Amino acid sequence: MEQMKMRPMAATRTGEKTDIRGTGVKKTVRENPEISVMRQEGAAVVSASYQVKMGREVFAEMLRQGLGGLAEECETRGAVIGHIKASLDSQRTEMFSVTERDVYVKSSGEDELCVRLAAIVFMMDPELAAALVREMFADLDRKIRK
Amino acid sequence: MKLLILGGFLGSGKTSLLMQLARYMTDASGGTALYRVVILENEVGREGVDDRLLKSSGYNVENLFAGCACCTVGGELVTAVSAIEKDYGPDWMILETTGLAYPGLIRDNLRHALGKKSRICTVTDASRWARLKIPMAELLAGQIFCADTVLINKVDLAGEETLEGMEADIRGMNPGAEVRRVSALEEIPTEIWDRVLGRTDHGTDENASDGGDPHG
Repeated sequence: MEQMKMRPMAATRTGEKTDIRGTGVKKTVRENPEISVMRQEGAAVVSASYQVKMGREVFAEMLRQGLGGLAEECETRGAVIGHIKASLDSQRTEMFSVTERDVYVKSSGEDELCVRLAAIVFMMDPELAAALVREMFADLDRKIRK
Repeated sequence: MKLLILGGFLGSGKTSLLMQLARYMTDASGGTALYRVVILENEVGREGVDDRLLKSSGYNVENLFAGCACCTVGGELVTAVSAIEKDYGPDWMILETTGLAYPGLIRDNLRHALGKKSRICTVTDASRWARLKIPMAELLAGQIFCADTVLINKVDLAGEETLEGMEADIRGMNPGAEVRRVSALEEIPTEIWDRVLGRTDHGTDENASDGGDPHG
C-alpha cells in the first residue's frame, strides 16, 4: 500500500518578545501561554504551555470546562477533533530551616501549576485552531483574575 | 532488545492500554520484574502530554517530540532507539506512536537502518469508528494493514452490531491480524498481552524466530 509522507509546514512560534533595555542587552520575555502550531497529515497541531499560581483543584475544574468549550468551538466550526489533551503538573515548594532547636517552615504559598496542551484538529485552518486555544487560555486568565 | 510499535488513531486509547501493558510487563509481585522496559513516546506536537503520565507512574520514558516518527523525525527515531539500547539495555522497547503515524513505515525504517524487527499492535476506537472510517480511511487502513494484533478499544461504548461491522472492516484491511476486543477501563486479560508481545500458546516467543519479516 502506498503511504503518503507529508511534510509539515514550518512550525511557527509565538510568545517570545525582546525587550532592549538601555544597556543594549536584549532580554527575552516569554508570553504565557506559549503557543506553536504546525500541520501534519492534514491536521492542525497546536501545542501550548501555560503557567499559573493558584489552587490545583479549582484550576483543574476550570481547565476541564475550558477544554470542553474548546472542543465545542471546534465542532461548531465544522472541524473534526482528532485529539485534545492536556497534562497538569503542580509544584509547591516548602523550605525547612533550623538554626538552634526550632524548625521553621516557609511555603511558596499557592501551587505552581503548569499546563501542557496538544490539540490536533482536522478541517480547520491551523492559525484559527491556535487562536481558539489562545482564547481558551485568555478566558481562563479572566476567570482567575475575578 | 525487542521492539513493539503501539500505533492507532488519535484518542483511541493507546496510552491507557500502554499503562496496563507496561504494568503487566514489569510486574514485580513475584519478586523479580518480568521484563526491563523502556517506553519511547512520540508526540507530533512540541509539548509532551502522555509522557508525563507515564513518567509519574514510574516507567522509564524517553521522548521524541515535534514530528512524526514515520516521516519527519525518522532519523531522530533511529538515533533514539540506538541510544536506548545502549544506555538502558532493556528487554523491550515500546514505541507509542502519534495518532497520525503509519506504523509500517516505522517498522521498515528500523529494519533497514538497524536490522531490527518489530511487532506492531494497532489500537482502534469503537466509539468513533463509524464516524471516522470514511474521512480517515487512508490513515486507518495504513495503521491496520501492517499490524500483528489489532485491539478494538472502548467496546463498552459500542453495540454488538457496531463491533461486528468493525471487525469485518478490520479483517478486510488485514486478514492475517489477530483482532481482539478490549476496554481500557477494565483489566485486560494477560493472554491478550501475551499475544501482543508475540508469546504463543505454547510459551514460545515468535520474536525469537530467525525467519524473515512475515509482512515482507
